[in-house]
Amino acid sequence: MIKKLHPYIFIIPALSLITLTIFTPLFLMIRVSLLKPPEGTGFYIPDTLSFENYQSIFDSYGVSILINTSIFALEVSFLSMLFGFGFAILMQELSNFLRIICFICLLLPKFISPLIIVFGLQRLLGSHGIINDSLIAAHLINIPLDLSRNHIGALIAEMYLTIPFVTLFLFSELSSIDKETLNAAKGLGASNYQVFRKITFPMCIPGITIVWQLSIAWNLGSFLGPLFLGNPSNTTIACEVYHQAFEIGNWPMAATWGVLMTAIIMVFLWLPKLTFRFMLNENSK
Amino acid sequence: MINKIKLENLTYCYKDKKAVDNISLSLHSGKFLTILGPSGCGKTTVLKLIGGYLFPTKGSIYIDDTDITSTGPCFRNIGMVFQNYALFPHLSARKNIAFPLDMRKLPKNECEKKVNAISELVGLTQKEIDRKPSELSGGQQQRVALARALVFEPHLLLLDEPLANLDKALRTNLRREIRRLQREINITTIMVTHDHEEAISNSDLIGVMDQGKLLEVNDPKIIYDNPKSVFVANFLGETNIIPAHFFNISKNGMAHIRPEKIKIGDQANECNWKKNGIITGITFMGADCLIDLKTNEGVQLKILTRDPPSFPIDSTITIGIDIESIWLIPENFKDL
Repeated sequence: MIKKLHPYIFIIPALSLITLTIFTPLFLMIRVSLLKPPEGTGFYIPDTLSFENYQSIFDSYGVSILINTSIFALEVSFLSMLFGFGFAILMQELSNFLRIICFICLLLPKFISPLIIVFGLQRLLGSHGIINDSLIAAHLINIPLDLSRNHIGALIAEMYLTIPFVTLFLFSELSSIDKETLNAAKGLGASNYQVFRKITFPMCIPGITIVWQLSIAWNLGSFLGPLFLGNPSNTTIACEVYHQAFEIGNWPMAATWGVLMTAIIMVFLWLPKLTFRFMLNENSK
Repeated sequence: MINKIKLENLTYCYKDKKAVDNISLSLHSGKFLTILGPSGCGKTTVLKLIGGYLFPTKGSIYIDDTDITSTGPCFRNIGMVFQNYALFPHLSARKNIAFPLDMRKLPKNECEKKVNAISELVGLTQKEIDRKPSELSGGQQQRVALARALVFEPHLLLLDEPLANLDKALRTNLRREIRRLQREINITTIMVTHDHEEAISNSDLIGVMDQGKLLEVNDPKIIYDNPKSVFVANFLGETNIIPAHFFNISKNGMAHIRPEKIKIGDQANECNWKKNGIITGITFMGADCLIDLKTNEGVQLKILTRDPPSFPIDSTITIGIDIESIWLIPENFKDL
C-alpha cells in the first residue's frame, strides 16, 4: 500500500504549489465574480450570489471588448508568427557572427521592463516622435503618420513584445531538423520552395502549434500596448480589468472579466491544434 | 540509360584544407564502384560533390558528355541513400518513397504502381510501407531509403555507408541484396564505406582514398592481391608487409603477402620457400584461426589457417610460401 503511494508522495510539493498559486486564486476569482457590485463605498457587497455581472457583460459594450480582444490577439499572434518564422529561417542561413548579433538584438530588449519598451515606442511612433520628425525633415511626408494612439500603434507594441519569443522558439525548432533530410529532398527533385512546403514547414508544425498557442494566450491578455499606444475604442479585456478594479473599484466586475479571459484563452488554445490537425492528417497518408 | 560518369580533377577545399584532392575517375554504366577509405579521408565529400550537395572548388563532373558540375541537386537525377537514411519523419514510408515521383508531378495511379513495384523489389510489405519511419526497424528504414532513391529511375545511385548503422548479420544480408538489386536494375552505383569486406564482396571496382587523394582504382581481386601501395595493402585486410630482401627477391622495397597465402604443416613442405619460426600467439576466429609467428630472423608474420593449429604457443614450426604469391609493392620502387 505504502509502496503504491510512493510516486504520489513525490508529486505532492509540486501539486500543492500549483493548487496554491493557480487553482486557489482562480477559485477566489470565480467566487468574487459572483458577488454583487458595490453601491457607494467598498469593493463589493459580501455574501451575495448573482449572475448579474455576467449578464451585464453581454451588452453591446462588453461584446465589443470581447471581439476586439479576440481579433487583436489573433492579429498579433498571426503576424508575430509570420515575422518570427521569417526571421528564424533567415537566422538559419546567416553566418555564426551575424547570427550572434541577431540573438543579441532579440534578447537585449527582453532584459528591459516591457513598460519602458512601450514608453520608448511611444516616443518613437508619436506624431512628434523620431520616425515622424525624421520623415518630415526628409520631406517625404507633410502631415505626421498616425502610428500611435490607434490600432496600428497597439499592434506594433504587442508584436514588438511577442516576436522575440516566437523567433527564438522557432529558431530552435528549425535547428532541430536534420540538414541531411533537406539535402535528401533536394536530391530527390524538390526545389527550395518545395523543400520548405513539403518538408521544413510540416516538420515544424508541432513547434508552430505550441508557439502559436502561447502567443495567442499572451496576447489575449495584452495590456501595455493597447493602453499606451492604442485608443479607447479598441480596448482589451486586460485594460477593462484594470479600469474596473483600480479606476472604478468594482471588483466583482473585474473578476468577471478575469474569468471570461481565462475561458477565452482555454477556447483559443484549441485553434492552432485544430488548424494543423487537418494538415497533419492530409500529409501523412 | 547513361553510358558513363566521369570526374575530372575534382578538388574541394574546406577552410584551406583540401578535403578532396584532384580526383579523376570514370565509371561505365551498370558498374558498382566502392570508394574505400578511413573516416575523414573525404570519401563522403566525393559522394556529395557527385550528388550536387556540395560544389567543387576545381574540376568538373560529367554524366555521359554533359557537364553537370554547376547543376543543382534537384536537376541531376541522381538517387542517394544517406548514412542516417534521412527519411522524412512526418511522412509514411509510402509517402517517402513516392516523394520523388510527386516532385516530378507523376499521375497518381502511375505513382502508386511504381511505389508498389519498387517496394516489392526491395522487400517491403504493403503493411510496412504504411507505417511512419519511426515505427520501422533499422533494416526496414534502410530499405525505404533505398526504394526512395531508386523509384524515380535515376542515372546513378549513391550509397553513403548504407550499412554502417546495422548489426553484423543484417549487414551481410542487406549487402547481398543491394548487389542483387543493383544487378537487376542494372544501375550504375557508387558506394562509400570504410569496411573492406563490404567493398571486396560487392564491387566491380574498388577505389581506395586517403587524405583526399584517390590512391588506386582497380578490380577487387587485383587490388587485394597486388596493391600499389602499403596503405592500400593494409586497408584491404590483414596482411604482412615485409622488406623484400627477406625473401631474396629484391634488394630493396617492400613485399606483400596475405596471411592466408602462408602455409604451415604438411602443406608448407610443398612450397618453394621455407622458414622456421616460433608461434607467439593464436587467435581463434570461428571460421579460421590467426597465428602470430616470429621467424628466427626476428620477422613478425601473420598466418591465417582454416583449422586451429595442433601445436601450442612457443613451439617451433615450419612455414612455407610459394614465391610467386609474394607481391612487390611498386610504390617503393621509386626509392631505388
